[in-house]
Formats: sequence, structure tokens, C-alpha cells
Amino acid sequence: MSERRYTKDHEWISLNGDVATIGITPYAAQQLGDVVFVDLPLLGKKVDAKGEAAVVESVKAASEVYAPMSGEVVAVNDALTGEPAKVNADPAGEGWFLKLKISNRGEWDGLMTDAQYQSYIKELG
Amino acid sequence: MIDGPVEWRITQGLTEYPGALRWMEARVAQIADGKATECVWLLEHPPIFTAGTSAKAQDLLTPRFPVYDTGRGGQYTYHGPGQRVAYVMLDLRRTAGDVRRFVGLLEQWVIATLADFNVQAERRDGRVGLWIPARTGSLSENKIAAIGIRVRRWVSYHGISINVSPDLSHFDGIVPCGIRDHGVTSLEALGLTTTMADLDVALRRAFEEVFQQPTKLTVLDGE
Repeated sequence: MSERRYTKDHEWISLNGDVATIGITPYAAQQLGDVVFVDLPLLGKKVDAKGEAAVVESVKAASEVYAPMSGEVVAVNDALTGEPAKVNADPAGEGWFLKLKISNRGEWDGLMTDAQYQSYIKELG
Repeated sequence: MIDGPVEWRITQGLTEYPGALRWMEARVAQIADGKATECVWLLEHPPIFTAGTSAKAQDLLTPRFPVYDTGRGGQYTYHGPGQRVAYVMLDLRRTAGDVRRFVGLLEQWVIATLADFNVQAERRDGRVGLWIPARTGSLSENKIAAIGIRVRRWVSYHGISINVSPDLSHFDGIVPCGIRDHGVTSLEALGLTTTMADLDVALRRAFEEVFQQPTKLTVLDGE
């Protein structure tokens, strides 16, 4: 598996060439509770790093999911539309949200490594 | 985030929906940027239907009132005169830590508020909102309060609504929250003569108790 990086808002990102896969972490999925709906962006949409990329609804709360890096949406996980519970069942795998063709490789270095993220969530308790 | 009491804002009269939404979004940005205190805003809307992020088109039966897409969690709901809407612009990192716990606190707040009037609202697994077991009629329980929030940069907005004395027939245009086999009720329908002002006092006391935060009052005239 390729290396992953993380945001303080609990998104994960992995990079394969210049295409990044993005999802939310198991920590986020657990905090949200049962996901009942995922609103994914249209293909071709351009998003900025930290800009809104998707919306995830659980327990009557719609929470925004942010793009860890800037880029253009080149794929979305349509399986989540029919089966949003995949986000809870496998957030780091089958529950991925979208893929971005990234536009600024340098943003990667500003993201948390796995070790940094693990200590960050430990601090949050 | 700015420390300090939560602004407890009450607008008299009716507030149009689009302006209320713009105001909330601006305040949320200020809270997230540390430029404004958190805020709870009590108001009433003219009759409208609003659609949450998971609203299903077939649940809008007759669009007899203006319909707005809102971006909050949940499906269709009704707002109108006689219904207290409380919008909650609160920093989740300070109040609850996570979304699920935050929604639990909102439920607890409504339960504590209604308990002041000897109304025992109950939670139901899998159906967020607060319910009153029915004494008569074919429906086993009726919804008295609804919840739907949005979380942006860890600050909530949208909120709760409690039926004080709305025209309950207005709910007929939708399937509230997508739930067909349960009805809606109000304090008035339960035989209570509670006024909006009575409810507001109870809401404020219960909020300070449940969220463990002081509040500071602002009262505004309606538009």
C-alpha cells in the first residue's frame, strides 16, 4: 500500500502518480456514527486544498469533508450512494470518497504522516 | 475561537429563510476564524418546507409553501408560525468533541426543556428527533421536535425546532423526516397553553445546564 497522509479534519489521502485517493479516517467514521448519505462532487470539479469536497450525513448531521490537496475530481466512489454504510465498515478502504488529479505536489509535505496523525488523535482523546 | 458567553439571540416576529441562512453562514465563518462568539438564535419562520441533504423527492407531496434546499442533515421538514426554531452556531471542539455526541446533547437539551412543562419527550433508536407516545389515534407516537445540523470547520449551524402551536395541517404537504407511519404533535395539541416566551425561558435554562455554558441575551425585532 502506498504511503498515506492525514489532515487535522480527519481525512486521509494516498498518492499514485499525480492521482490522489481521499477518504475519511476510522476515527472520523466512528465519531460521525452511522453514515446514511454521502454527497459526492461532480467529475471535473476543481477543489482547493481545505476546500469543501463532499458532505457526509449521519444522525441528522451533515458534515463537510475537505480536500487535503488541490486538484480536479477525476473519480468518485459511486458505491457509497447505494451503500453509505461502507464508510463505517471500511473507511480506509472500500469507503473511499473520491480521486483527485492533483495540481500542487508540494502540498503533500504539509500533511501529517501516519505517526503524526496517530499521536494527534491520541491527544484528542 | 473567542471565549465568552454564547450569544442568546431572539428575533421577534417572522424571519425569512434565505436571510437567516446567510446570517448563519456568515456567523459560522466568524466563529471558525475566532472573530465572533458562539450563538444560539431563536426565531420563527413563515410557512416553508426545507429539504436536508438526504431528502427524497417523493416525500414532498404537495409543495404548497416555498421549498428550500438547506444542506443540513436530514430529510424534509416544515417550519412556520407557532414553531420555535433554535439555530445553534457552536464550536464542536469546545462543546462536544464529536458530531454524534453533539447531536445527543441537542436531544438532551430538548428533553430537559420540555420536561419543564411536564412533557416527557423520548428518543427513538434510528429516528433522531423527539417523540411523544400517542394516547389516541392510529399512530403510536408523534414527533414534537426535529433536529438537523450542518458542521462546517467544526462549527455547527441549523439546529432544532419545537412545535409550540403551529398549524399541524401544514405538515401534510410532506412526509416529515421521511417517516410515514408516525405523526406530528405540538404543545398545544397536548393540551398546553405554553407561550413562545415561556418556552424560551425553559430553552435558555436547559441549554446552560446541558451544554454547561453561560449565555448573554440579545433581543431583536423581526424584519
